[in-house]
Order: sequence, then structure tokens, then C-alpha cells
Amino acid sequence: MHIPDIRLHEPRTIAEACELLNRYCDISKVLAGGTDLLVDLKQGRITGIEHLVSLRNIDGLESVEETGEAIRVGALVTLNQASGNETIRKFFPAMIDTIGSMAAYTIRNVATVVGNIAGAVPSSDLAPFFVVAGGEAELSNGESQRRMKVEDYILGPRETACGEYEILTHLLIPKPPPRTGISYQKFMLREANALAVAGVAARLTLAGSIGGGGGAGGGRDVGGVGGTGGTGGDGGTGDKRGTGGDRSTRGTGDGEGGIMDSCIAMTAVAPRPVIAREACAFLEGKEPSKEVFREAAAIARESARPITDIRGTKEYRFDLIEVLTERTLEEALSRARGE
Amino acid sequence: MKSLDESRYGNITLSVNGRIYNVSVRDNETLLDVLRDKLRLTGTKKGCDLGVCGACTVLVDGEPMNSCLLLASMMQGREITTIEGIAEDGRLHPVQRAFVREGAIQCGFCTPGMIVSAKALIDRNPDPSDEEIKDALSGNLCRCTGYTGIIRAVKNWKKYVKAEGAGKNTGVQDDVKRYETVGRSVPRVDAVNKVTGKAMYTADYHFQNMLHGRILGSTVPHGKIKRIDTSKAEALPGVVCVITGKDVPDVKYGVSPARYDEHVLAKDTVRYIGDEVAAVAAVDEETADRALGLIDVAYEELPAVFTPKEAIKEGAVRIHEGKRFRNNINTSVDHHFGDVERGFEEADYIREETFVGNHTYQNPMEPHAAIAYWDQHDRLNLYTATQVPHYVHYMLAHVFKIPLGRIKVIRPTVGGGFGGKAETTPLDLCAAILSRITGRPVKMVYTRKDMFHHGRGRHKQHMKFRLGVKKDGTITAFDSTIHLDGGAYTSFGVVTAYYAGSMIPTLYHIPNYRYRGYRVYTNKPACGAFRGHGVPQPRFAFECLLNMVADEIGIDPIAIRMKNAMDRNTRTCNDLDIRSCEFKATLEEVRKKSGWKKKYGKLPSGKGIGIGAGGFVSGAGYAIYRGEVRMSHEKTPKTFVKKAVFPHGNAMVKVLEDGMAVVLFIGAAEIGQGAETVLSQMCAEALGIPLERVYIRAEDTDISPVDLGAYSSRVTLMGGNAVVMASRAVVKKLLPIAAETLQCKPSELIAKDGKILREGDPGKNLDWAEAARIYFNEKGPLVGTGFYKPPAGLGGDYKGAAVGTSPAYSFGSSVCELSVDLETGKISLERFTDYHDCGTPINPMAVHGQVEGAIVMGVGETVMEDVVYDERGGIVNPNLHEYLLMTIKDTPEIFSGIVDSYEPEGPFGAKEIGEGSTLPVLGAVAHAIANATGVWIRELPITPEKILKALKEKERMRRGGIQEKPRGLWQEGKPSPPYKRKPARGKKAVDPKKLFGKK
Ligand SMILES: Cc1cc2nc3c(=O)[nH]c(=O)nc-3n(C[C@H](O)[C@H](O)[C@H](O)COP(=O)(O)OP(=O)(O)OC[C@H]3O[C@@H](n4cnc5c(N)ncnc54)[C@H](O)[C@@H]3O)c2cc1C
Ligand code: FES
Ligand code: FES
Repeated sequence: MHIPDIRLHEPRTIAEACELLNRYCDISKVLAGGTDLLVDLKQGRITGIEHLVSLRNIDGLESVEETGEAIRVGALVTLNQASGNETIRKFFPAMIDTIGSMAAYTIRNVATVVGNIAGAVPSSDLAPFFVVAGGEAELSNGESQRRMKVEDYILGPRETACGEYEILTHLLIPKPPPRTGISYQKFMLREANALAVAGVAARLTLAGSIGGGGGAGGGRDVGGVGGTGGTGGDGGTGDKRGTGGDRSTRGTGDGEGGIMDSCIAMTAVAPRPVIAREACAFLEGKEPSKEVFREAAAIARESARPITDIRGTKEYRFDLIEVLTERTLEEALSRARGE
Repeated sequence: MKSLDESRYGNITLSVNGRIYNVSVRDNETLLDVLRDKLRLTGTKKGCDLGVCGACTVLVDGEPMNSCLLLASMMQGREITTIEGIAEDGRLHPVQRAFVREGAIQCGFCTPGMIVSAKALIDRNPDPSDEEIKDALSGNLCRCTGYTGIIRAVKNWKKYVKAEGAGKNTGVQDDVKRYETVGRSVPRVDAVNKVTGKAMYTADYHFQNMLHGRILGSTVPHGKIKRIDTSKAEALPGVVCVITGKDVPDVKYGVSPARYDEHVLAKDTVRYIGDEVAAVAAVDEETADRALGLIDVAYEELPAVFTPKEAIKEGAVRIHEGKRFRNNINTSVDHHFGDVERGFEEADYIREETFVGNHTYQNPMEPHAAIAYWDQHDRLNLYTATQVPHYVHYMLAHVFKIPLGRIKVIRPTVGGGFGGKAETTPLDLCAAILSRITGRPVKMVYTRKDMFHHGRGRHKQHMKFRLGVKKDGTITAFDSTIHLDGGAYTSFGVVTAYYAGSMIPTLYHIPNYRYRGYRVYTNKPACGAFRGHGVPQPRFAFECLLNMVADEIGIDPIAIRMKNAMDRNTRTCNDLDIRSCEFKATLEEVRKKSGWKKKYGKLPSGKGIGIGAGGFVSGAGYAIYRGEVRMSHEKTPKTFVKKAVFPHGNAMVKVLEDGMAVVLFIGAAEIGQGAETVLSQMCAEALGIPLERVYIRAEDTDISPVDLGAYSSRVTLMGGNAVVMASRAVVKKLLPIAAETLQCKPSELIAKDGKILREGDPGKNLDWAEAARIYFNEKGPLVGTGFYKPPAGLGGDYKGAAVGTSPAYSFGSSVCELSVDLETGKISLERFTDYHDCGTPINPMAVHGQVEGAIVMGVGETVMEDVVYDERGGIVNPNLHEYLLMTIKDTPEIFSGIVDSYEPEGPFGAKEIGEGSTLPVLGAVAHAIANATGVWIRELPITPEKILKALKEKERMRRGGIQEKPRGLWQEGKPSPPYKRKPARGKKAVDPKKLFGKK
């Protein structure tokens, strides 16, 4: 079991990296932590790769920045760095939980956050989190940047919207609006080094945050990640729609606050992360309760497209989705309430 | 020769353990390979090469990482710390000392990675909580210790900051104070080497001009080899030799002489995916690997069968030729003791159940490895990772048709076996052949995937059991039929098929007992002997059935065991002689310690408590081949006689000229279980000197007298008896010398505390070493020898009576507490309470280590382990990502206790613990799950999915108002005639056709 005869490149700029990817096109791959890629290469699951382009020496990819409305995670930030980061701890306890459920300590010292998204493995744990949090992928081809929602970025198993010589340089997570809670529930067959049999992330934003609820549409500019400032050319973000901005919402108007906005996303139950749109639509405007969540979970179940594999059957995964959805909504709710 | 493409190489400069290295590496090399192969820092281990096992953990700029997933060329300028760099100026780091003292080490293969991870943890957090310890070590798998000692060591590391000298152990149960050295929880004699990375495992050795070999496996499950074209492989630069079936001796080998059915490389037929077809030796492993891909094999595929049910069918394809293997039945057993029909008539309640086991694989952390070379005397030198140096020795002689004397087997440190290294491997044989042809040393190491394909894991058993009891719980009859899925070759299978039946009656009085066993060939890797050899699955099933019956007839599960429990000095229904037996005491202790009374039947839904019991032999009563030690296969085997022809354990004790050190020579295999430590302890005890003066040499068949090996839990009892005899022979020589000086009779003297002294008058003594010096001056070398033969006449006179015989039997009980998430089926283990009767514990810490390891392994087998096959018999999960071993985060809290017991046949009263400790676990877990959920899962592994499915089914029936059919049968109004014991007689095996007809 050996890594095939590859050539390693360690460019110093994104432009150089993209240039290399362009030159070696089909026979090259970006290398971040390598915990996914090197395992695949050793096992012969991907073949024909002759060049690896490491991001390690490129400046500006190694930090987590707080930029006004968003948190920006560079492509070299490891899982352990992210989970030790104060800003992330403050805004996204769900991301800390998610990372805590992933792999094992030593792997998390090497594996990157961005690599987990860029790899587009159907059981990625962070993908549903990024989807519900309204995360965006920042892509660069060395000359220009573009941005897209994480849910649009991941197209299928190991397939992304990343152009052949583009690099996913950063992931952006908008700071959650007030009275918002995010949670991730993962079901796995042992407590460490186990991929998800199924996983569900949810975000709930309760009404009653700004001016007593109602008409909060403008206030929850979840996607408003403008002003990141780190890289040039992202002035266009202001035009982007926030996640969920395409849906009309009804504020409940009362003090406690019904569910103003929600997003539920699942992993390991479809070729790519799935958003349980019907369940989200059902939740909007509802008073949160056990019954409502149970019903939402039953609706969410229908959005899953699982298959049977060594970790579980299709039927079992459907069942898990329902249970996990209910639990993740409960936890998101208590987080939204600041409990 | 290999064409030199310099451009493939680049230079890196890195610091390793404070030393700067400039190394030339290729871009595809991992840091792990560079450390091991180029810098020869072999303390860092390769267990999986895929990032899951953590054996390769090193610090990179202070952070622990898996070096198998780091490209060496990216290490330019980085600071690496390996296990070799953890100790400073020759002083162990406190964490290393804690590992030594707290019983955190067994085979030691995971230890370097564990210590590196632990050191990084305490550097960033000197006071870690249990949770933090578990998270930090979550990527380090250990197959031996059950993690319990490891957690203890990391938690208590601060205790070891000072005090380097000797001291009492902490954290482990109190010593047993019957003797001086025996009964003390002394640290392992190999502990320091294991915590520093100095312990050398087979793959760590390197020889001048060495080649590296790899084996090609079949890609079809069953077929004839039409053609093999090796020309492309031979043409690859760097390839030195390629061999196929035509290059290997036309001699079959295996384990049981009655069923040698393997060729070194397939002669013409392949019988499973992975069956060995060709082997390559090349200048490096990567080249050898590449060459395998260039060997072109054309197969004519034959139909294949993958389950006993398919294989046994009339008209099914035959996997092996020969009349005796009709219906692919490799071994059949029909044992009937007493009269089961009568027994069932006497029963008030009868219950029949079907259980199915799983294919579990030993997965020792160290992969199999072998290095062979032929020396100047034309002797084969073989370094091999084995539990059975002697059987490897014997088998090499058999296959190569040379005397034992022309072979030397060296067993370096072994990283666990559990039965997976209990036979000669294709690596041993191919390395010897490739080395013979090339005239160079050849090293061959399995990848984790190869290990799975080589197989020899647990037989998956399909079990149909029927149990009859009286109203008061007294067992009247037990009838069992088991189909064992054997895989493509026999391996240990004959013995397995017998063991599956023979060990059930050792635990309970079963007056009427029948066992029918059929081991069936299938087109999958051969199954073999795995910890508890053949017994864990039937034991699991029996314990489940007993618990079902207890619940049904309204008797407490512990009470029903008490009612039927074995007593000491009993001959079982199948003619096994039980001497010491404190089974009831173990039941009583677990009942008290676990708070059983307050819990059983009183826990809320979702919480469960369960009991299981088990026991095992302390060494097989007979050797695998039964005759005398033979020169080679040419001599006709002797017919079986009911006694050991040659001693199973042999020892030699030699005292150094100054009397200050003693070397114990014994061929016993240390594989992590602690054999070298307990044997040294017994040697010191019998000699009356401190343990520090005893050194053991057990690694080389040239140096140490033969011992049959580490299987059937035999070393402590058999090796121990040989050691005691050899040691006493030395003392016997010393006493007259001392008597002369002390002017008394030798019979008044004893050896104790490094002195020869008069009992009751310790003031009158002579220094032990002084006595030894006097002896040497007067009579030359002071040497003692000893041996052990199991008692003659063990076992009955029926066919297969030899299997299950032993000089002594162990007993144990386990209580498991857990909770089950009723919505997902997920199990959370909470606590284990275990008591064992292992006779006198020679080293209590080692006993607890075995129990803790067995519990974690046993739980894993019960709830998550399974080798999964696809529809072509290919293994779906031949790696540690998908074949799930319990991690440190899955480990329950474990209490291990030892009941007071003394085995007259054992050294200092000792018997076994290694395998017996596994046996109670599976049943206890299954029972606790049933207790928590109200549903019994009869098929291993008991996964969350199976639990949820059963719960839903139950709910569906409840909703539909469907009553669950009563499974048991009450027999009313039958008079119970007094039981008359019939003489135990084995019956001839039934015609398999008849058997199939019945199904
Ligand atoms: C033992 C073990 C356990 C694991 N457990 C889990 C788990 O529990 N949950 C889970 O989700 N994953 C798990 N993984 C998978 C893996 O560790 C993670 O997905 C990790 O986050 C990948 O990051 P990386 O930096 O190692 O990616 P790499 O292996 O370097 O890259 C992954 C893929 O993404 C591409 N890529 C990486 N970065 C970029 C970029 N910036 N731009 C474009 N393409 C890029 C690469 O070309 C490659 O195809 C596990 C892996 C191992 C070995
Ligand atoms: S060898 Fe690196 S993790 Fe197993
Ligand atoms: S001691 Fe941990 S694997 Fe053997």
C-alpha cells in the first residue's frame, strides 16, 4: 500500500497554485491536510493523479478572522485550530460539537475545515453545519474570486462547483442573528474515528428578537457577509441574498417568538447534503413545541435519499433522520433561547 | 537494476529528536516510512497505514499527528519527536514511568503512539479529566489492554514525576500475599523497552542487502489457474525474484495433521479471494507491490459457495477433493453423553432457540511479518511474529523436508496475537523460499488488508440449542447443533469444531448432553483459533438461552447459575476432570459487587443489567500433533496414546558464575500477555531470589528448550511448572553447599530473599550468591532443567475426547450494565463487574489487564465487530476504518476482581486467565441489552440497527394485538424418574446427507 509516484508542489501564492492546477489539469489535486486524499491514494480509490499542489506555503490561508458580519476560515485552518478558536467558540458552539464528533484528535490536528467541504464526501460532518449556518465558499482562480453558498458548491460525491483550476480559499460563516440556535446531531457506530451513519444540522431563528418580532426579514441578513476585507474583489457580497431570504416569513408577533426562520440539512443520507425544505417551510411561524418538532422531523424524513451500505440500511437511515432531526431541533431551540 | 531517476528525489532537512537530518526522499514517501526505513527509528509503528490506529503517532512541532498520513517532503524544517525522543538523558518521562507502573502495557505495539499522544496532552493540559484523556487518545487503538490501564496511567502521571526507584504499584488491586514474588503486581519485565520504542518487533529488523517481498492473492473466489504470466513483473527494474505454485514444494501443510490442505502458493486451484498465487521479492516494498500489479493470472472460474447452508447442499460445488469432504463438510462431530431424550422427558420446561455468530478477526495491532535468510551453515533463520515458534519450526521442517536442526526460529517482540498468529503463515514460507532462491535476506510484512485476507479469525457459527430444566431451574438436558463456517481451509478447524461442544459442560452440571457440529468449507478466508477458541459464540448462545429460561420460569439468572454451577473435583458429562473450581464464588461476588439485587428487574426502560459466565482450559491436554518430536514428515505418525509423549513445557535455569544473576531459558512465546513476566516471577520465587536478578531468554529456538507456544492459555500453568521444576533443581544443588557451611542438614534449609536459610532461624544463613559461587568453584556450571507433561489419561475414550482436556479449568462471571437509546438502538456501556477464578494470580496486575482487555474486546465482538463479505466472497471492510474496534471513548468502567482459589496442578496454585476472561462477556452484554429493551437479539453483532428493528417489530405486534408466541414449552404432569448416568460415549458422526435432509 503506497502512495503512487506523485510530484509535490508547494507554491507560495494562489496564482501559482492555480497555474499548476491549470498546467496539470486532470492529473493533479489540491492537497490540504491530506487525511482524505492520501488515504484515497494509498487505497487506489483515486488513480491517475501525478501532481499534488499543497497549499501549505501560501500566506493568508492559515487563520480564522472575524470580519464584521462573518467569520472567515482559511483553507489551512485545521479542525483542532478551529475548535480552539475563541471567535468560533463564541458564535458557533455547534461547530465545536461537530468537530468534536469527527475523526480523532491526531487526525484533527492535520485535517482542515475547508478540506472537509472541498472533499465533498457524502458523509462530511461539517457540510450540513455550513449549509444551515448559511456558509459560503470563497473560490479563487488566482485572478478573481467568486463566492457561492456551500449548498451550491457541493454537487455530488466528491464533486464540487470548484473549477478545474480554482481553489476554495476560505469558508465564510455569517454571524448568526440574535435568537438563533444551531445544532448538529451525528449518529455513528463508535465514539471516535467513525463516519456518520446519518447526521442532521438545524438552525432556528426565533422571532421576537428585533422590535418584538414580525417583519424581521430584513434583520436576518444571514447571508450578509459583506466587508470581509481580507481578500480583494468581494465587494459584490452585499448583493447576495441571505439564506432563506427567498422565503417569505411570518413573524408570530408574540413575545416568546415563534420560529421565524429555520434550516435543516442532513448528511450521509444522500449523495450530497440535503436541505429539508418542506420541513423548514412547515416550521416557519410555528410556536416551537415537541409536537411541532416531531411533525417537522417526520416531514424531514421524506427529504432523505439514503442508500444501504456497510454502516446501515436505507430504512434505518430514514429512521435515524427522523430521530436526529427532532433532537437537533430541540437543541437548536434551547440555544436560540440562550439556554 | 532499477533505473535511477534522480529527479524523483529531493532533499529535506528536518530535526528528529533534536538531531538534524538531511535526507533524500521521494515525494510519495510518508514520514512514517522515512523514520522507520531511512532513519531506522523503528519505535514508531505501522499498524494500518491509513490513519486509524495511531501506532504511527509522532509530534510535529509539538503536536501529535499520524505520520503515515504525512508526506515526508513536507517536513522540511519541522521538528519531529518520536517515541525515542520522549525520555530525556536516559531518564524516563513521568508518563512513561506511569505506563510501566500502572499496567498500561501489554504487547506494547500501541504504546509508542499512546505515549506520544499522552505526552502532548499533558504538555498542553497537565490536569486532564477522564474525558480529555479519552479525547486526546481517541485516535490510538489498543487491542490488548482495554484502555483501562492506559487511562489510569495518564491520570496518575504526576505521581511519577519524582521517585524513579522501585515502588509499589498504585491503582491496581492489592497483591496476593501467599508468596514473596509470586502474587505481586510487579511491572512487566519488558516494560521499559516498550515505553521507549526500543522493543524490536519483526518488522523493525533490518539486514544487510535485504529484499522485500509481497504476495499476490487471487481475485476470484474459486477457480482453476489457467496461466500465470510473470514476465512483466520480472522485467520491472528492482524486481529480483518472482515465484508461483510451480516453485514451491509439493507438500501440503496446515495445523491439524489429519487435514493438511494448504499449499504455500496455489498449485492449480484457488479457493477464496486472496488465496496466495504468487510472490515477489524486490529491492524495496514499493517495487514489490508494483510488481504484483504486473503479474497476469488467467483463471477459469468455478462456482463458489459462501455460507454453510449453500455449501452443504447436495450438488454444491466441492471446494476440496476427497471422499471425506462430502458436502464440503470438513469436520463433523456427534457427541452424546447421558440420554438427552430422557433428559428432555424429565424437564418441566424446554426452550429451543437459534443463534448466529459473526466473523470476527483478531486484529492484533502488529501486522504479521517474517524475515528469512539462510546462513553460512545452510540453516534457515526465520524471524517471525508468531505465538507458536515451535509449530512454525515444525511446519518449516515438514514443508522443506529438512530436520528441525537445520532451522532456527526467532520470535522477536510480538504485538499481540489472540490466535491470529498461532500458525505458520505464507509469509514465513515464502520468505524462506525467496531467500533460498535469491541468497539474500527477505522481509515480508502484511498490510492490514492482507491480514484480513489471510484470515484465521473466529468461525461464524450457526447454532440451534435446546435446553430442558426442572421447575427449580435444574438443567436436565441440552442438545445443540452447530454449523461452523470454516472458510476455504482447515487451519485449526477440526479442533474448533470439537471445542464448540466440549467446553459447554465445564461450567454447569449437564446430565444429558448432545452436540452435533459440522465445520463446513466455504469460499472465504480460512477461520481459525481466536481467543476462547470455538467457545465464545456457543457460550454466548448458551448464556442467553439460560437467561431466557430463567426469566421465563421466574428464577433469578444468578440463582439459576448457582443451582447448576460446577463444583470442584467433578468429572463432567464429557469426561473432563475439573479440579479447583470457585465458579460459585465468582457468581456470588459479582452479585454483591454489582448491586444486582437492587437492579435486576428494577431498572427503568432503556437501562439494563445482565450476567454471563464462562471458563476455559489452562492449556490443551495434548499437543496438536500427537506423536513424539519427529525429525520431519517422513516418519509415520504414531497412533494416539492417552498421554503426552513429549513434555509440553521445558525450561532451563542457568546461574551466572558470580551468583548474582540467573538466566531462564524457555521457548514460551511472549505475545503481550505477560508470559515473560510471570515466568520470571515464578523462577525468582522458586529460586528464593529477588526478581531483579532473573533474566529471561525466550526468543530463539537455538537457545531455549521447546515450549508449545502461546495458545490454549497454556503458558502460565505448563511453562510455569517447567520453570518451577528447573528452579527447584538449582536450589537442590545449592542446599548441600550451604548445609556444609552452616553445619546443618540440607533438608532444614530453604532458599528465600536471596539467602539460604534455616527455617525458623533466619539468623543462620548463607548468601544465595555466595552459595552459587561456591558451587561453581567446586562443580562447574550451576544449571537446572525442568519440564512439564500434562497428566496421563486425560479425557474419555470417545472420538475427539482429547479436545477440551486440560490439567485445570478457569471460571468467571461478568455483570454488564448499560443503557440503550430506544429511539436509535444505540448502546452506551456503563459498567462491568467481573470476578475470576484463575487460581493463584501470579501477577494480579497482569490478570486485571487480561480481564480489562477481554471485556473491551468481548464487547466489541458483541456489538460492532464483523467481517462483511460481498456477493463474490470479497471482504468489504478489510481495514480499521470499517471493521470497527472499540476505541478508548467506547470503553466502559471496569471492575475486575479475583476470587481466592488454588489449583493443585498449577505452579503455586495458578491457572489461566487469558482466554477465559473473554467468555462471560458476550452473554452478559446480550443479556443487559435484552434487559434494557425487552428484546433479545440472537444474531451477532448486536448493532443499534438490529435493536431498533426488533423494538419496532415488538411495537408493531403490540399495536396489532398480536401475542408473541411463547417460545418455551411447559411439560406438565410428567413424573421425573431418578437420573441414572450412562457412561459417556461418543457416537459416530451422522451421514451429512441425513443431516441436510432434516433441515
Ligand atoms: C481516521 C479518519 C477519520 C475521519 N473521520 C471523519 C469524520 O468523522 N467526519 C468527516 O467528515 N470526515 C472524516 N474523515 C475525513 C477527513 O479527515 C476530513 O474530511 C478532513 O476534514 C479532510 O480535510 P483535509 O485537509 O485532510 O483534506 P485533504 O485530504 O487534503 O483534501 C480532501 C479533498 O479536498 C480537496 N481539497 C482540499 N482542500 C481544497 C481546497 N482548498 N480547494 C479545493 N480543493 C481542496 C482535495 O483535493 C481532496 O480531494 C476522517 C479521515 C480519517 C483518516
Ligand atoms: S499506521 Fe498510521 S494510523 Fe495506523
Ligand atoms: S498493548 Fe495496546 S495493542 Fe497491545
